[in-house]
Amino acid sequence: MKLTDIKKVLEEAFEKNEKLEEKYNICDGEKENIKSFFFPQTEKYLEFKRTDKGTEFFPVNNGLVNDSDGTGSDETDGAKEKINVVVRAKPCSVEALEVFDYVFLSEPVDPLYKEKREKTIIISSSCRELKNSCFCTSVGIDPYKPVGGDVRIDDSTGGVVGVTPKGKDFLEEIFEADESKKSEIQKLEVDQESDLEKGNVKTSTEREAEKDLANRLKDKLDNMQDSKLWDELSLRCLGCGVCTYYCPSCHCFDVCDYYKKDTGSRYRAWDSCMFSEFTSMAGGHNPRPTKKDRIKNRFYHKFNYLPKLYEKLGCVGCGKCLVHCPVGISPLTLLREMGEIEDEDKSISTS
Amino acid sequence: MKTNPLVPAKAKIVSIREETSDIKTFEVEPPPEFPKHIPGQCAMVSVFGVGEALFSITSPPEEDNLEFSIKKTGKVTDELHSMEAGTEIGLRGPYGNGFPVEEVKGKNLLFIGGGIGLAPLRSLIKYALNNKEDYGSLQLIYGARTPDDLAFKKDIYENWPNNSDISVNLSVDVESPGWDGYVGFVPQYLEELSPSPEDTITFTCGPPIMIKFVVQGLEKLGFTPSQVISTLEYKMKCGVGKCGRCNIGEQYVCKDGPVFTLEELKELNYF
Ligand SMILES: Cc1cc2nc3c(=O)[nH]c(=O)nc-3n(C[C@H](O)[C@H](O)[C@H](O)COP(=O)(O)OP(=O)(O)OC[C@H]3O[C@@H](n4cnc5c(N)ncnc54)[C@H](O)[C@@H]3O)c2cc1C
Ligand code: SF4
Ligand code: SF4
Ligand code: FES
Repeated sequence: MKLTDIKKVLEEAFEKNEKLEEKYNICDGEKENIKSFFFPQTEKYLEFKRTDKGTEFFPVNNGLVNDSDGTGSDETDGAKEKINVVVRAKPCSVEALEVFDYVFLSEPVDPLYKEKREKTIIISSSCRELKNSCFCTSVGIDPYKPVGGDVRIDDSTGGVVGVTPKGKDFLEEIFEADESKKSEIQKLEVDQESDLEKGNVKTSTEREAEKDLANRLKDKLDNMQDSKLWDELSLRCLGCGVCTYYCPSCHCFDVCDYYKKDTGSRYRAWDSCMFSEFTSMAGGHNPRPTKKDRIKNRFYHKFNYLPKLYEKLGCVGCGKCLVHCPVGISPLTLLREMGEIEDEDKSISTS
Repeated sequence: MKTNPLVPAKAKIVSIREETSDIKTFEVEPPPEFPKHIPGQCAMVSVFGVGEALFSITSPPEEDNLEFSIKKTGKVTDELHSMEAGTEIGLRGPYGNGFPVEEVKGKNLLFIGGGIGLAPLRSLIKYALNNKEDYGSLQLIYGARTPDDLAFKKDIYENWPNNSDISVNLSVDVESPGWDGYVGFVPQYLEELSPSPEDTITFTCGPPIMIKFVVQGLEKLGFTPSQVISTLEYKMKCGVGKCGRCNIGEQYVCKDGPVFTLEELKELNYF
């Protein structure tokens, strides 16, 4: 089976089978920012009612705050209960999830994230749309080597492989519904068995390479505290926060309350370290008062602080910030400044 | 589903005391599952429908109820100030590392506070007084803008001056009617009192600008960076190192702080 077919195959299978249709929801990992499947833009986690006697809590049955009256309990859109199947999860997107896992699955575990992470089926594949703005290879990612995922598609062989038990079960379910695919897929799965065991987790060599790179960039940044680059970037940056919203590894959030009549809710929402309000405090004190402080903090977070914490970069080189930033700022500039990439050479051929 | 660390437990305000024109102390009965805190730790207080804010627990761990001294500065604090005893609020925590009460055993403790910054120190002062045999001499230097802005009046005017285990030095920024104590900023008063660094650990809490000058003053007096401990205030939302708001370098103030030694802050390029 060809890589390009996976979405179609699933759609066909779902069309033929109502049960699958009801159970699963196909998400396109190429078109959408996959962090939003695990960490929605807004996510309600508490509903309450204030009475004379005190406060009553209500269970929250979905993570979205999109109701008009703030009560939220009347939402019955079945799609939200479905299991998300993320197809075409590219290596960069899947790598970025490691940052999310690091943040949200470390103690105290964030159950909202964990639940979605455990439920979602990720079908990882290699990248088919390398763009001029991509620089994943400069941050140690091989765009042609699918990583992670519950099901993996190997376009060199055209194989579809169940990687995790959850992924294998999912494939089983699909093939039960669609007999015609069964023999073909099972054969592929057997064929892939040995490779699959090797590729599932990063090999120690791969992990070492990842650590080496993270540590090298970290060390370089340690010596760039006073670089003129920060001044240059801060003159251009508009502080719009777009870069952080598109970034697959940016995870900062705000916590807000909504209250109307007697009922209210508390939710979290994506926030951005590029906003001046992000850290400004009562009495006017702001530990990161200038755009320079903020842009520096963002790049240091990805290339110095995260490497210090877990020996992995916080940037996967997807180039989304580069494409969407109104003034073209991206870590690419930083990597050039550090001598990690030659001008004009992004070390990968674009197709 | 595992419990969500962001969801607060319900807690009741037992009593409210007025400290200054804009600071009130709230005594709160903690929810049963609320772990015992270490002096210097904080808790996230919720007003349902308005929001959450982080406050130092100003009572010592030996007391059953928790106390928060809260300055009226915005949405949540305004709402808290309009509440009456008996009102239900939300509570989660305790958060942060707290003061190194074990490590500083046997030392003299010097507390330096400004304004509402006495709140976290008060927990430690009370703890040290309750465990006097573990510590050497105790001294407090505390200042505010005017006499009215000095918080915890009962402690600073009655309880502590009457306790021979601690010496209390108070100051106000500007000349005020009826004030015959020191007039000037806390860092100046520190310089004038010029305490000896010998076997002494200092704890400084207050506005960032005060901390900055106190730290300079302490260094001038010969205190080494490991003898200087301070608490930092950053804007916080989650309190558990996930919302990404309160970092200084790779450290999160909510989780790895808010208590840092000057040594650590220098390593983080904060000073
Ligand atoms: C570790 C720590 C300990 C603290 N201890 C105390 C204490 O014991 N007593 C006390 O009165 N206050 C304390 N604070 C400060 C207190 O958290 C803020 O004053 C409070 O959050 C303001 O909330 P608000 O909703 O009333 O104001 P808002 O309406 O949210 O805001 C008013 C202004 O305060 C800013 N702000 C929002 N959140 C914070 C924050 N966490 N810190 C500072 N400014 C903020 C806003 O950006 C705005 O400029 C502490 C803060 C920290 C981080
Ligand atoms: S390239 Fe930009 S958007 Fe992509 S991971 Fe790096 S910082 Fe985030
Ligand atoms: S998208 Fe560009 S201009 Fe906007 S905050 Fe990010 S770096 Fe600045
Ligand atoms: S308050 Fe969220 S990371 Fe510190």
